Amino acid sequence: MIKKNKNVIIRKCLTYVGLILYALFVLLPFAIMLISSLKQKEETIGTFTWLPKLGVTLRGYMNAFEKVASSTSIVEGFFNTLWIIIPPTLIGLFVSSLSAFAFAKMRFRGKDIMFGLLIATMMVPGIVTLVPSYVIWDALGVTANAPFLPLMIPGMFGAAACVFFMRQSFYAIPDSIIEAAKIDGLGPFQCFLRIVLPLSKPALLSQGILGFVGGYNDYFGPLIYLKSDYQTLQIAVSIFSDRYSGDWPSILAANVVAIVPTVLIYIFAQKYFIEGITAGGEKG
Amino acid sequence: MNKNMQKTKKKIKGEEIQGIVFANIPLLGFTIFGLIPLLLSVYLCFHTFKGLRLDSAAFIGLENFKAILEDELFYKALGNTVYVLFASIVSLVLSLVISGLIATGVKGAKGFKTVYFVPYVCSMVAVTFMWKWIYDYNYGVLNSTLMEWGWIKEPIDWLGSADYYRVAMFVLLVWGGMGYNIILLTSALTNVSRDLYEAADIDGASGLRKFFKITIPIISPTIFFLLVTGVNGALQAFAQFQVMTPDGGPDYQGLTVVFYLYRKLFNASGGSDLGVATATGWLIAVLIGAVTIVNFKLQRKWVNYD
Repeated sequence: MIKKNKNVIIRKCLTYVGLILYALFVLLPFAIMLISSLKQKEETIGTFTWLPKLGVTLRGYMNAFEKVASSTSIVEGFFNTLWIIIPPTLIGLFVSSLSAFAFAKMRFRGKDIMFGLLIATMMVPGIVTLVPSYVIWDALGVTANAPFLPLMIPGMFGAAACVFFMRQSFYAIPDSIIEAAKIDGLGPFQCFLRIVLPLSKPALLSQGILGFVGGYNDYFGPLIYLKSDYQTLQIAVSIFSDRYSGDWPSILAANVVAIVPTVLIYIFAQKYFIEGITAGGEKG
Repeated sequence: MNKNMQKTKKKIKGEEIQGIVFANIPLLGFTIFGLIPLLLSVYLCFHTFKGLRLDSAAFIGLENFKAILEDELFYKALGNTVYVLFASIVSLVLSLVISGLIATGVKGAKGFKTVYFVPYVCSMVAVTFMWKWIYDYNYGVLNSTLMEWGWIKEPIDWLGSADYYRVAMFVLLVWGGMGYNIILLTSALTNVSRDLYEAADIDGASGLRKFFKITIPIISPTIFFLLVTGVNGALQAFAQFQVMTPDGGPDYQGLTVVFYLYRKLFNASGGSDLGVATATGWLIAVLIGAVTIVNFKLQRKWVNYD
């Protein structure tokens, strides 16, 4: 009996050791990045040390926040990203929710077929439509004059996955509430706007956050459509890092700046973040 | 009475139209931004162009596909992509182990999960530069530490030599890929009833046996979902490789199939090849489709939907 207990304790200890080692594996790179971003440039040339021996400096961060004439600065990139991401995230979420509301709570013919079609669209790999989409926008003169539009407009029509998720959460709203609103004379759109949306704040928040973070971190889209004088944060950081090649504190400072916003969102809205992620997984 | 009924009928009809309109805005979006490009892609992949100009089209049949399938570099990219696929499967297995450990009822499970998920939240560009610094040949922490410990005498050129590039990228991929898996797996594991384990305890089943005979079958739908999405993501890997080695890496080991497509669309050495780029997109789609079908066929053997 004692021997068995001993085994249990050893196993428990090993479990914790494993989990802590993995946590270190996840976090150490961030620590290394943060420490190195605060070092003097001279100190990053030579053997790596954990503590900045020459003292801490914000020089790298000052460089990261500097304005540049030739291309998009990190700060400009940040605001460009917000401008490009926020409208499609909000409008797309609204449109997806409206569609989900119709599928969940309204009566019309052909509903199942339409929903099936919508879900089927998710199977078309974006990689096939990438080149022709670019060609169309280019032929319309958009890539030359307003290259951010291809990154904004398609998202404003909503997304099938988001419709699926919102429909699921609208099912949880009892029909009786909607019937009562109808008797009070509310049309379907009013009913959606005044009753269903306010009741679905958590679901909206988690979809909104996921959409925002996904757009914020997107690299491929901006890389294809945007030019160097108007870039999103991700590309601006990448250009900055090339320009400061060899100056690791500056490069890492810029990349810390790029990471901070989404990590803050994650820390403060973790619940919604995780809910959005797990709900997406459980549909599978 | 009759008038009233007509009014109601009209109202229902109006509601029906509204419903159809509301429901189909996303489908309209797909038609414009998905279906039209999809149809155009069929045209593009059988034609050749001068630069990006559509009016320079000349029909060449299957030549684009032939050009790709005769290009050694494409097979190289295919091999590299299979390697990413392998990394995604390893990260799924490791995630399963970590999730299993968390599910044994450790204290601070929430804290562990919070930490493990952080890489998923971070920009892939930033994370790639972070690892680039760690792998830096001259001053990176990895070479510094290994030399200090006396494990190596000379620094290793992690990102510049064909022998080590894959190892370096493998670690980055696994590091970045596990968080998402762990969140979904631990969430699925909390739904596993304690009773089943207690019954197994009475039968004297060992921990490992319980894991394979109870845990895995119950969460198999989640594992399957992660496998399908993971494979899909792996086949479209691009950003990490393009940021880490914009030139394709040593011996083109960083060239994935999407990277290959990108280089055909924006060819640095001379114009774009629209036809070949589109045909590459189709080949990637066929690859994704084939792997997904295999996955769905195999699932009957091991996924448990009871």
